[in-house]
Amino acid sequence: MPPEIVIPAIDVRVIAPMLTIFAWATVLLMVDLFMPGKDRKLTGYLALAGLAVTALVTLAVQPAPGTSRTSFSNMVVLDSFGTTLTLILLLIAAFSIAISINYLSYHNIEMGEYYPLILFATGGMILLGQSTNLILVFLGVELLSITLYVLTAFFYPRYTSEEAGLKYLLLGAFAAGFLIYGIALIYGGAGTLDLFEIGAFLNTSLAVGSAFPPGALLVLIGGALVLIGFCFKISLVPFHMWTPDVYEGSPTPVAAFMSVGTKGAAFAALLRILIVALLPFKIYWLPVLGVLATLTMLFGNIAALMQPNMKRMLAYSSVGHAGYITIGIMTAGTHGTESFLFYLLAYALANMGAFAVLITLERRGEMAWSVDDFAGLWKRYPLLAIAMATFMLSLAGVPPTAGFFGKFFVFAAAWEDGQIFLVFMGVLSSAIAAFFYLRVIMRMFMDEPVREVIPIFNRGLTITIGIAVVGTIVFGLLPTPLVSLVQNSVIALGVGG
Amino acid sequence: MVETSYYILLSASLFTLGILGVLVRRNAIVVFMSVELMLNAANLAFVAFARQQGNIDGQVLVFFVITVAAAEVAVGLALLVTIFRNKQTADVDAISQLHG
Repeated sequence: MPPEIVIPAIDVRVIAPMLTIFAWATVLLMVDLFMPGKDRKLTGYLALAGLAVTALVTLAVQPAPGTSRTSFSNMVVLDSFGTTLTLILLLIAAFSIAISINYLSYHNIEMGEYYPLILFATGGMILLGQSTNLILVFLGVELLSITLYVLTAFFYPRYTSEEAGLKYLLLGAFAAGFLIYGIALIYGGAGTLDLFEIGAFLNTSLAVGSAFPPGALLVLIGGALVLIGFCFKISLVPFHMWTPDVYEGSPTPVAAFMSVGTKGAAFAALLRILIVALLPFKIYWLPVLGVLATLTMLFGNIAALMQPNMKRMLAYSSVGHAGYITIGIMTAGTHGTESFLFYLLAYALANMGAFAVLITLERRGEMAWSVDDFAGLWKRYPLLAIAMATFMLSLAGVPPTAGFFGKFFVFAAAWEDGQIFLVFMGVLSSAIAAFFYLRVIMRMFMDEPVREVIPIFNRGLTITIGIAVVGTIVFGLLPTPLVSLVQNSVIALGVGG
Repeated sequence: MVETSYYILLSASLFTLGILGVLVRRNAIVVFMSVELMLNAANLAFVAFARQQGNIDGQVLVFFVITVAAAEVAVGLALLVTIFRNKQTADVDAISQLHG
């Protein structure tokens, strides 16, 4: 007699946001196939509509504050942390699509697949933020990575884009190897892939005796390999070497999308792994992450100092920002989760805005993105110069911008946690970073124009820059509503409840 | 019955070979093959651990790894073809216009 298969109770609400976005992307892919003509702007608008619908669904199924829902044998969880993160990711995706719609046709790379690919990647990111099982963590990472490999190389037949895609793919696949082998070792040690059960296993096996049980040792080694895999994805020094090349070669909206979306999602998954499953190993991962964060902040900002190319400068600056976000992750036990979400939103607004300004100055068939193009911008396009200055100040962490409060909350959480050295290094590297952000502002306001640059404006770019400026300043002046939002974003530490 | 530890030793050696291949070999296709070796080393570990642990989670994950690896290679080979059309080479050292 065949064994009886018991189907566990399924709560579709838990995966409703993902279900919506994946279904929308799949249908959009087919709708696009039957769309007449070469114009693909309608696909872009439909993708934006899909993001709006997903946001509504996310709000409709959000759990009551402080509670969480798990389903599919505890593989996915819907907690307020996941909901807030999903909304931030949807905003990032909406910005990316808005700045892409005219960019693609302007550069002659208009293909309908672009928008469903962004939606699939966003779905992968949402999955990463909600998964409590290592199978889903792996799937989420790969889903967003593989779509991003394609998007990076989307500038076909431009050679640099293909090269960036291949570099990203080779290093990404290498990192995936570490990630999956780490997961294999964790599974071998703990006998489960469930984050909650791994945490429970470690608690009991470490409590038994003073000696280090072999199962826990396997989990420790596996955890280290998983950490290496994630370090590639979030580009922590010394695993960052692909970042500037990939950002430079990929289409600018994709670089913008990657710089905030991938980082946010991968950090969220890492956060969950570290504080749900590997919390008993905090004495081991805390110093390691501390060293990585310090190296990342210093190296990212120092390397950005020497960059004459704006796109590479923003890439190195994104490496530096990964360091600050790491501090937020490390202090996740206290106020780290909140500071992580706040920092992510502030960084997303400023960075998407900066990339959008970069797109307005980008010319067809050119790959320069020189800082020289910003010289004298104030005299010719004062509004654009003011917007760029706002983003640079926010990235540098100068009040009254959202970036200031982002850094402030991260450092405050680290201080409260007793990580005085990290706070010191963070402030030091911020001072270095202020140097190159302010250099851009100086060139815009003080210098004479080097060459004639005619910015391209269109609705998507203007709206994105507008929202980003307003958001950056409003959250800088009145952070309270956002603070209360992120304070309610509690991460689920156990099943149900 | 062969003990689990032997399987894990074999898979660890395969994994190390894969890492070395990625770091040492310069042909992008061989680099891909080395990455595949790393993933399959993980698959072997999963299957061995699944038998030892007595649950099938590991075996299920192997299916996902195989699928993901196939998708990754499909994208990777497509990229390689376009690069080969441009450069007539698959040498990773020659594919380095972006730097600075």
